[in-house]
Amino acid sequence: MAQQPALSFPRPPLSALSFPVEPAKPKNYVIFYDPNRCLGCWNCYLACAVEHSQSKDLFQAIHETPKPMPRLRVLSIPRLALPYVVQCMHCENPPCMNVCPVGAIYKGPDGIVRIDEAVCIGCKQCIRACPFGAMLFDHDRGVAIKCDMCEDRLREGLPPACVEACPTGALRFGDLSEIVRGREQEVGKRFYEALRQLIEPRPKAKKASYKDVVPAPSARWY
Amino acid sequence: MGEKTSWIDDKWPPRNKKFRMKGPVYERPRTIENKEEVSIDPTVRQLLEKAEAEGIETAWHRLLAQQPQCGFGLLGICCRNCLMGPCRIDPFGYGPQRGVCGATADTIVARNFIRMIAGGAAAHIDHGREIALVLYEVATGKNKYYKIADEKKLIAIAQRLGVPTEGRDIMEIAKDVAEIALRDFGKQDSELPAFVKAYATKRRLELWKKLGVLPRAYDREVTEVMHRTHMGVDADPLNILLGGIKLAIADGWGGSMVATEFSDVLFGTPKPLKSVVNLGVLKEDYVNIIVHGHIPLLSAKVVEAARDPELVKLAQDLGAKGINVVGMCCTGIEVLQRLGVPMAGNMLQQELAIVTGAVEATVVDVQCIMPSLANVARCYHTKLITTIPIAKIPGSVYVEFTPEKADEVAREIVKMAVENFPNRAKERVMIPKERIELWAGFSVEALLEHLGGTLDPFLEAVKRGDIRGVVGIVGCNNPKVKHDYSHVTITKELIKNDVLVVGTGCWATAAGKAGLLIPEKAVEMAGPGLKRVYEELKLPPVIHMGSCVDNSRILVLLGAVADALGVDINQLPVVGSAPEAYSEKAVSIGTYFLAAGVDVHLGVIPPVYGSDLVTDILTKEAEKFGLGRLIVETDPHAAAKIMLDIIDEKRKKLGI
Repeated sequence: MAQQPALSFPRPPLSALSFPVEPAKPKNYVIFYDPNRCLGCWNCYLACAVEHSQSKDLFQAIHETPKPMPRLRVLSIPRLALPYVVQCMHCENPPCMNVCPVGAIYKGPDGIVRIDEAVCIGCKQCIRACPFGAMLFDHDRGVAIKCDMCEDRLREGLPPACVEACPTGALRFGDLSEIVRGREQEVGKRFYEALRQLIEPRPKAKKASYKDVVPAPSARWY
Repeated sequence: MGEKTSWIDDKWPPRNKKFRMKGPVYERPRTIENKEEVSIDPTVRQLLEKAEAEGIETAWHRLLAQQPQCGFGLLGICCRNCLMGPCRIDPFGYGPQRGVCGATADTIVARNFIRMIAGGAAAHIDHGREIALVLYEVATGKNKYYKIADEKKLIAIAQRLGVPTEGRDIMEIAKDVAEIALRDFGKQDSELPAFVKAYATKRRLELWKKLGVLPRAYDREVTEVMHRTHMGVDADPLNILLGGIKLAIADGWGGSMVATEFSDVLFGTPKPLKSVVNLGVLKEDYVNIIVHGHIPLLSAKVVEAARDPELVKLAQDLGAKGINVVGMCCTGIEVLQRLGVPMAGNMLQQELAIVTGAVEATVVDVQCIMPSLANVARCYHTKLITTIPIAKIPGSVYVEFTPEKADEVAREIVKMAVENFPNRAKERVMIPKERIELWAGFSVEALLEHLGGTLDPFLEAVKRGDIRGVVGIVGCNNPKVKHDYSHVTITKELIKNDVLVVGTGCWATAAGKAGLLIPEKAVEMAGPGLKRVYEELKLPPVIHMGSCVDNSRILVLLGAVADALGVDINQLPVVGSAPEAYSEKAVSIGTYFLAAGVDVHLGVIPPVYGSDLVTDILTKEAEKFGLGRLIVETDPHAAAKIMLDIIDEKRKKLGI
């Protein structure tokens, strides 16, 4: 076959591009919880408590006083006995922030909703306002506490502790756009699979049998 | 816990800098970045690189994929003993504090711990039973393939057990001894098993009687532990732990003791001999067979069959120079210390040995055989040959081994390996160069002979302070710990401080690979006292006492030393250590050393920290009962220092 000339299009020089380069958008960090993957193993709960302890070590944290407080809870959906993880959604329009009478709750440019504990007066309005029940209260210090997305870890380039501890990938972390893209891919893949099954149903692969390899067990071991 | 001995992140949850979202899934690292950190053995790095290049996963990769491991499991506060569960206790105190049945963290941790002992002890006891049955069959003339190789040892055992020996036929004595041993496994009365009675010291037996932990029959103790830990039986953590100690005694002075003593009778008591170790023992132009597992019944026969001129001729016809049998894990040590068979490596090298691409067959029996071997073998021409009905692996070739057909089966296996030689892909073979000499086979009898038939010169050296104390290092490999590093570091640190190190199992192979089992080399690293001891008594600073059931040899030695000094074992300047323990058997071994009154160091965090009470009993209170205590320390340097402190303290109390 004769060699074809490579396709080429006239292209303006790079310097001719005149549209302004947009400044990088600040990240909008999200912890995304997928109940389909959740086994209810409570490891996120443990990891959260360890991360919010003084020693940050599992074996030492359990002996600390005051006891480290986890910022998320693993609940069970009534009657279904399915696990469900409740933690702060870091809402775009946080009701807790809106009701706080002293302005102790604020949302940063990175999307993290924080509590300024020095300002908090412990009035518990935020607990009432949160539609998820994600706001918790520290009785020892008399302040409201909530998920802070493990800021110390984020600064080191690590994901939040709960996400790292999740063995099944039910908890995910990233910029909102990444999470959305991931969701799109996941849904798209499922949709594509369903379509392909409709168009050309594949016969199920025959499973290898153990009998091919191992004969029947004998009665007695020597 | 100062120095980092773990190549993975020892934080929980792990701090993984390489965190990436790949599509919807959180991607964790798949390859080992710094292979230097995984092991101090250069063969591991070389072969890990080969394995990764060929897309083969090893235990280290799977450990990486397992991260993060369950926090409840690490603390031991998860209970799966019944169908009301699984239950777990919230260690921070906000969530549930009792399981569905009402068991607290203390009960759950104690129950889980003794179930681990049950697993380990059952393995040793079954091992002992196999050997005892074969001895009985040999004695009654039913089995012609094995013979009584060491009559002196058999008579010594008979005398200990009180079997008359004067003017009797050796086979009759063997029959009596085997019958007594076999009866101990499953007898129903509440008497002390004959072996435990004969081998444990008087003082220990009195203490155990006081504590109510005298075992009755080996199988019965395993059954009792499983019963005890069933829901609704025992809920008192202390009582549960004492049950575990009772079982461990039945293992140490029973199952393991029978296994060691009768192996010596059937295959000969080990005598010091020289061999070579590390993966360099595989030979490029030979048919390589690895014997892997624990029970010498099979491995000894495979070694024998490989020396058969007919099979060697067959190998030569197929283009090989001969047949090279090498050992792996403890069955390797069994044939190393008796027949001088070269040793390929320890537990974590089992997959890497196949990755060399030069292995025709890996013949396995029971215990410590990774199911992944079949997967690795599938990537090469290697045949994984399973032999025991209770240990089958999908993807392996199964050739049933029975002692009645031992020779035929061993020949068949070797023939299978030889016929596999032409399938070897020569371009994929990479055998590491590392191989080093080692001295093995220091059984108690051999040591006594070495010292001139009496312990006195040894005791004199201890009293003089030339030997500051003795540390028995035992046990496995664990990928959580830098492979061999803790073993070797602790050993070097101890001999530098004039502490004699004896040990067994995968520690021995690690020490061998580090050159510590060459007396001349070890003496260079040893302190002045041990140097003097070597000059006077020719006693090397580091002593290889055998495979992991041979820890019973250390018990016999401890008993003899304690009796010679007229004290109890817990007064001796002796410490046990398992720096890289992984298996349930190691838990059982550790517990019988505690029962003997020896403090035991553990270099891996055991799953007991979820309960303060159980941790306290094991690490502090046990000492008050006259038992040993558990010391958990992951940093080998710190661990060596703790052990030296204990030895000094005990020496002071003894007044030497």
